Amino acid sequence: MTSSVKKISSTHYAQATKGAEFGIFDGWRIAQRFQAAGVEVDAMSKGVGLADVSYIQKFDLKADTCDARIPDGLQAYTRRLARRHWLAASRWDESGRLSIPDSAGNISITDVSSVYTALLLIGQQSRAVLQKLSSLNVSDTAMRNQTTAQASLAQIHCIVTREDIGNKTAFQLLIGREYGEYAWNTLMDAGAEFGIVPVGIEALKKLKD
Amino acid sequence: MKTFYFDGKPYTAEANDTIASALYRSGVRVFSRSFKYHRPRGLLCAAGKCPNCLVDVDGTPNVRACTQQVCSGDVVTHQNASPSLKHDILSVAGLVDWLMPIGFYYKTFTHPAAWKLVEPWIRRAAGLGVVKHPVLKNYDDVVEATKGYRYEHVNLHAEKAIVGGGPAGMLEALNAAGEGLDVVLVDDQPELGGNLRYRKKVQNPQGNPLDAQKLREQIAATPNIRVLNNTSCFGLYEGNLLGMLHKTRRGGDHVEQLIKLRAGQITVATGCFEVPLVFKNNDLPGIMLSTAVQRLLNQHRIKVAESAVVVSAEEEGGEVAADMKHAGVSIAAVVHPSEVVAANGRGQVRAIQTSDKTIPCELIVICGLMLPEAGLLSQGGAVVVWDADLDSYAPQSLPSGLSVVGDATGKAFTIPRVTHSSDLLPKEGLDSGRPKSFVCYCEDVTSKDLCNGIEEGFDHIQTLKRYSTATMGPCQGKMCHLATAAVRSKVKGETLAETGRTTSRPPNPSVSLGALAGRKLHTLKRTPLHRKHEEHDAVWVELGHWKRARYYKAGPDEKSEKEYVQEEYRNVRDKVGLIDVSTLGKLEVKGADAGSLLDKIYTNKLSTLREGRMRYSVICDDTATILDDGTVSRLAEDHFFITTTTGNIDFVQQWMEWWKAGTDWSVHITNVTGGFGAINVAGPHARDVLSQLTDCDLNTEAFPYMACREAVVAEIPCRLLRIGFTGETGWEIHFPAECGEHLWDAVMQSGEAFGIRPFGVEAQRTLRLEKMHVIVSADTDATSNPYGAELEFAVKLDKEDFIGKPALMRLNNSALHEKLIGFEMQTSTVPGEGAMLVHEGRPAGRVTSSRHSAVKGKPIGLAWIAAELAQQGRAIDIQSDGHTLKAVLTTEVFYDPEGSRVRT
Repeated sequence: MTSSVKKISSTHYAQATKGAEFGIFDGWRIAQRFQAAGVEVDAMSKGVGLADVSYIQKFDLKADTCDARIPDGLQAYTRRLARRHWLAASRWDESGRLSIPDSAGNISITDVSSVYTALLLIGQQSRAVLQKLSSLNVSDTAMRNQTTAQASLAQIHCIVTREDIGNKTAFQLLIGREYGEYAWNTLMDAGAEFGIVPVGIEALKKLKD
Repeated sequence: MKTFYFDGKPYTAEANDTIASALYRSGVRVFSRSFKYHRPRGLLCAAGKCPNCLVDVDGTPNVRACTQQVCSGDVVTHQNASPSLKHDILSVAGLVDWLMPIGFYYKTFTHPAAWKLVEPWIRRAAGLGVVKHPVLKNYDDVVEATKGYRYEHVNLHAEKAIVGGGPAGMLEALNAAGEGLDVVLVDDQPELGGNLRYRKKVQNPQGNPLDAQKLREQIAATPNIRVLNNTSCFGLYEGNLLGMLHKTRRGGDHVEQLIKLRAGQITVATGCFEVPLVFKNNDLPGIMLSTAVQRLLNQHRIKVAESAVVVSAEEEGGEVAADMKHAGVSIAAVVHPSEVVAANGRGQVRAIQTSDKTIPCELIVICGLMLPEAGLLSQGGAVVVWDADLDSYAPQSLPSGLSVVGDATGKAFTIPRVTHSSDLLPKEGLDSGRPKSFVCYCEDVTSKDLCNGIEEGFDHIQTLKRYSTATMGPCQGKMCHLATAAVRSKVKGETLAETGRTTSRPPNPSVSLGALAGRKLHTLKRTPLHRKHEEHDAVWVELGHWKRARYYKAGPDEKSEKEYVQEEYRNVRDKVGLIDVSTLGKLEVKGADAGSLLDKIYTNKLSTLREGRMRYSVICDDTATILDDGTVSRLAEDHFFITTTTGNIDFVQQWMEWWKAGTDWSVHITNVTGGFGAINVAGPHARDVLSQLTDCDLNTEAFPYMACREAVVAEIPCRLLRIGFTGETGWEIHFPAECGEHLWDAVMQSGEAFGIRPFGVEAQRTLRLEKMHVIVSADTDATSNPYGAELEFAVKLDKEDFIGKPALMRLNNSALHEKLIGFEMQTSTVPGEGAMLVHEGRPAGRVTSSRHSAVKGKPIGLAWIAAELAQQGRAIDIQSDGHTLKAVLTTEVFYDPEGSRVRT
């Protein structure tokens, strides 16, 4: 039986005020588009776009030792946050759900999917937007694709991962859900001078293709 | 053409005009009044160094008109003059200057009462500009006060930063970029070029001509050079961090960006600046530095005057004289600096007086000394000393990562050094009073003032600075530092090298507080049910960084807050209510040794907790002071779920991590506060409401008080905790945050038949007070321990060592100083929280919580009181808002003392 549970992200209403058209994936209301996907892609090419991908799965992995072995199914999704601390996150463009055990060897795994709001900042001006809100060095040399750092973003904790889409620079931002709407509004405000637009999943897929 | 307004009158400006150049072109010669004597001041440096053109632009005081580009519609007003720039009543101060000698503050107002009397008058008379919104009480005030202004911070990184976009800076940028470095070139002007922008035919030291346009094109074509125009660098900090301020306009708003640039290497190419000479009446409008004249002539195409006298060591007056002749200005004379005695005129230059004649003119052009702009170098750790051979200050001993090029080295690069330091001061009359010879334009300090200060014993350059305030104004010593040192050298008979320098400190130039504060960020947390509260017309309160519903304006009729709260309260006692408690801190503690860690951290015994059960517990520090409290639920053998107070989650997590470090325990802590939303469904019908939404058996036999279960509620996997902060049957339901609205709607729908309604924090406070439940940090403080707070049921001294155990054991074996106790008022007045308890006329304690109790029909509360007075039925006085109120102490819980309601 299909669940009637509506899952909404912390930025749901902020997206709605920007004209989001929502679709459903795994119970989540996900913005498909705010305007025509082509227009959103164009905006990202010239400036910067902001998307909410909070529906991705996230897992907190902690171990007693530094050499703990990450379970095989998770290795491709895992980034190291500290010596004995990792975060695994599924990809925004993968439809399947990861199957995660509660523990693996001496690694303790906690589902933190609900803990973080996940935003994607995409486009050539994405760095300029981040530079207005964080002292993290996001230059091409300091932060290559698929690298992760923890930083303060607009005075809140954020896990930043460079996650390029196609040939476009993109950053995944994981923020405490309670600050999600604040982060969305602050990023939109900071990006205004660079022509930031909210973008939906359709545009992201088009950009990737 | 752009139109702007100065003192209410419209003026036009050309495309690249600054406010000062536009006003000068329109005939304005007086731009400000001086700080102390209110003397008229005109353009002097036209380069953003001196204080002479400070104005208010659109409500922002102390804007330098000579560097501020005009925007259409700008409203510019003068500062520090009343009623007008032309007629300033306070210019009378110049006539009574004998009343205000150097250091008169310290000499005259030694009695506190005297200072209190005159301070408002002095503050009104002196000062530079007025802040329109001096008092900002809250976030909304800040929003209102900064309308039309945007303040932002920007963080940049570069392999090399070059400060100064003049010829040396541009050449250095091209060289560095050629080596493959990622370069940021910073310049405070709207266009690169430095002195090339206002000088003709400039050559480098090798005699090769420099073409600004060509250099600009080369830089624009170099991808690894990023140019920041209109950006002034105000400080160099540890770790090669440059503080910079970029001003611009965006959508009609004034935008100030504070840029923090961290660079691998920093090259200072700030060039040099011209300093004026000291002679009588040297501050009259119509006396300008030669570089200022060249800027007006060559950059803004303004014929500066009909006739002028050039004060220069060069016979023909050098390139400024040539430029003026080319513009049609008549050169009345060229006077050597050593011959200048005074400028004549009243409010405007009319003539120059030399040792042997008086020459009429409307403009005196001073070819002053060229000094390197070395402030950043000093801040970066370089030693800047007077070099007699160069006749200039020069940086030495540069730290690694810091370099200097061009005129900032102290050696001439593109600007010739014509005037010498020996010509800076007049040959005689240094200590004569009138007419005044100004050393410091910002603070109106004259050469006589400095002589007096030295005579009074303040003869070190640092003490002289502090006593006289010379070099401490808006120019931060640019115009006056050398002259101050020169006066001191002359009086003391020492060299400039022996006199030394004052210290350059950031920020220079000044930075607005708005820019330092940055973007208006209001980092409030929102629960997953925020919109649901909005739908129910919540009235908000900010608690522990969270936005929470204080109460709800339910129903069509407008009522008082008290009535709304009473209704919510009554609904919980009689029917059922729900409250959003998502703000509780939540931790997952997992691992084989999780129980050991919790036993170490908490005062209660938790390792023995059975699965499916929960316990209330307290965290104390080494002195047994209460730090936090909450519930610990055991979900599995190696898995605990913990709640903390709303504002303490980060502390508790760090506290646990801290105590875990150094052990070999296998235990892991994860903060899941934002991941779980939570509601508390409480009231006699709570079970009826929830049992329609879950298959979990909610009967007391299966799900007793202080038990926990993982169960599906309204199709959502939840954690249910049977707990009763309100004193009624209730469940705390923790759910994935993204499902919050669905669950809320389901509970409300299920509860409709039972009269469910949401209740806010205010009703909750009354409900819990009737049960005498303690709120940590509201009812406790830095002196509270579990025994005094009646929480000894949560202290287990029979377990192994835990944090605070020795102190708790001592307390257990000794008499308490204070106890937390309930009280019932004998009047209808609710005493304020913090009100004093009085016994036999002496202070005996303080109120921590108080509300009106519907159950008791009178105000009740909790209070700390001396332990020997904490007795059931003792009458006590409470002083609140100037009234003495009668109350009776009670140790008995106000509502359902047996606790039967929460357990059924």
